[in-house]
Amino acid sequence: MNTIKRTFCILIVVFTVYGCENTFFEPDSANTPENNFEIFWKDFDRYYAQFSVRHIDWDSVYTLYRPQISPSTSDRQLFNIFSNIVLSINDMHVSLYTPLGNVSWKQPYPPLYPSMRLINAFKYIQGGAAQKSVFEYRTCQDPSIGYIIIQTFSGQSEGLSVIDSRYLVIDDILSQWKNMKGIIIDVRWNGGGEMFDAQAVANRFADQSRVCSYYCQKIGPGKDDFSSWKSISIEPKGPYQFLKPVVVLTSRATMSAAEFFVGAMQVLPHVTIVGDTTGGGFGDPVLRELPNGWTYRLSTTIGADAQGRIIEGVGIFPDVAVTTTAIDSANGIDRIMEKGIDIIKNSQ
Amino acid sequence: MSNKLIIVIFLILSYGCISFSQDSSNIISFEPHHLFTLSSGISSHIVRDEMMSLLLYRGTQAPLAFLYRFRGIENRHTVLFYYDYTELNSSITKIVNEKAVSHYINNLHLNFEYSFSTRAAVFEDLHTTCFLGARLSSILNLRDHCFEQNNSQMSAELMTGLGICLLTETAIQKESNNYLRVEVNIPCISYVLLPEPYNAKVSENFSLFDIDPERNILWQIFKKGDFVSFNKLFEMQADFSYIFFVSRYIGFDLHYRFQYYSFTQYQDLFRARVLNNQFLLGLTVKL
Repeated sequence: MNTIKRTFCILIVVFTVYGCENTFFEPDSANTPENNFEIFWKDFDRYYAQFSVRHIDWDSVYTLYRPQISPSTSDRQLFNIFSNIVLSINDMHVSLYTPLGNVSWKQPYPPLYPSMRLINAFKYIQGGAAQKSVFEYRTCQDPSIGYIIIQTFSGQSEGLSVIDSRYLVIDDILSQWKNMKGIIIDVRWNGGGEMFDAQAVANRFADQSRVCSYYCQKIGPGKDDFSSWKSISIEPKGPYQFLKPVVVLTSRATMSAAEFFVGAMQVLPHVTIVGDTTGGGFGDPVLRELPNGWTYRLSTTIGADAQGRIIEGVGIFPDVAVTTTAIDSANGIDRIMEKGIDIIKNSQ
Repeated sequence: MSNKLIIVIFLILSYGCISFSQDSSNIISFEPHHLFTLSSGISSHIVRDEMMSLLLYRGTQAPLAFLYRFRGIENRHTVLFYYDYTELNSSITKIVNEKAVSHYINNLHLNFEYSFSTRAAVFEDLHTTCFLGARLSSILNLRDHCFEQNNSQMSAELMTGLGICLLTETAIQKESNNYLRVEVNIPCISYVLLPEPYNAKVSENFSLFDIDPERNILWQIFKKGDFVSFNKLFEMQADFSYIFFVSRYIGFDLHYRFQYYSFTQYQDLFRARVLNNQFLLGLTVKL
């Protein structure tokens, strides 16, 4: 009988504990327009890192938009409000994903900004060379100058490796080009991707370990709750370091991980950055979701270059500022590319 | 008094009540032996990882557990390996043709434990033996949060904790090896790893940017953990087992496990809470 009692006692304990979900978890937030707005606004208020550097008064966003939301607010109306907020932050790493559409702020290009593609390519580079993976590489019309386009740093980790092996093809390219006078790396239309992949490529050009950028992270809900600044370095990696002259071509469309790459290359003494200021968005974004199923992302970090200048909303300045105008483009002239070729030709 | 504290007190009191309730049987007398148990059953997993979502995600799965126990005259040794891989859904999970296509989590749950306890007290009148010892436990919960197609984010906790282990064994039947086993564990200090990009985003001591991706990444990540205690990590676990033998060497283990933890790195930002309930039936071999 006592065994039965004991077993009964255990069953009571088991089912009591099993049924204690509400003890450990409060219920999900209600899926109402007001609540979705409150969560969205509060998440940014607590976690978004760049209000001060982007000069945004987040409280005024609440004051402006909260009165516009009521229980009768439709999904479309709420989407329009959220879209306005997302676009007003001016951060390429802030996005909204909904069944009604996706919203992301895009860096506006200056008037008459040309196509980002290499203009009149056959004027500057030789055709028919090999292409590999995420890189396109050829020699210039002067065969002693190599030309590499890196279209993206959007990689995928494989197994325990965090580097996309396609980016390590750079080792093969550089080993073939050991005797080149110099190399031009074109990231003018590289919108970013994974920081590790950008770092892996930059490491192949590093002469020694060098700090290339800094970042700090949001570590609390208060507006000033940030970690200390932490440094990021590049250092020599791979079988061969290319230490001859290198030119990196940039534009306003060079963003995120590609900006990290530009900042990393800029600290190297044999590298010259040529072109326009980069897009100005370093912040590493995280994804979050609302009770209505909409997803958004926001930046929880602030990035700075090797000199400690915050690049969020500003970008990385080139060593040699050159722009290719729409008129140049129409005439088949890529001034940024030409400047890059000149720098390598005139190097010692 | 917080709800969690009430549950802790409830479990400890239950532990005492069950352990010391009257029984007509005697303390088991036996030769030292080894027990090997392979178990499966149902695991219910509930998580709220505030780094990713304020919503609850839950799911059930058939886990796999391997348990080794050594029952000596004075001491107890227990080793556990536990695995489950569960799809967790929320109130906004979109399901098409019975398959989740957005807002779901693929959760890998691994658990390794070793506990050692030594006989602390024998209550012959109450037919119960109490053991007191320590437990080393490592828990990994790795979550791949799939928001939309091709839009996912990883999150995880890997916690290795050293804590107190309270164990009681009570014979169910006179002169048999069938017994009831109740165990409560509360880690006192834990080494916690927070891989990117979830909680790690706010960790002072860990950042993915700090590691060298071209070297052994596992070792580098392992070095980036934090030692935490009750200030950041609240964890508790309780096990209820009924082990009965159908022959001299073969038996069954009916097992219920309750496991809960709540972790936050900074100022209650991005708190991750996990509740896991397991109902397991195992085949036990005694050697």
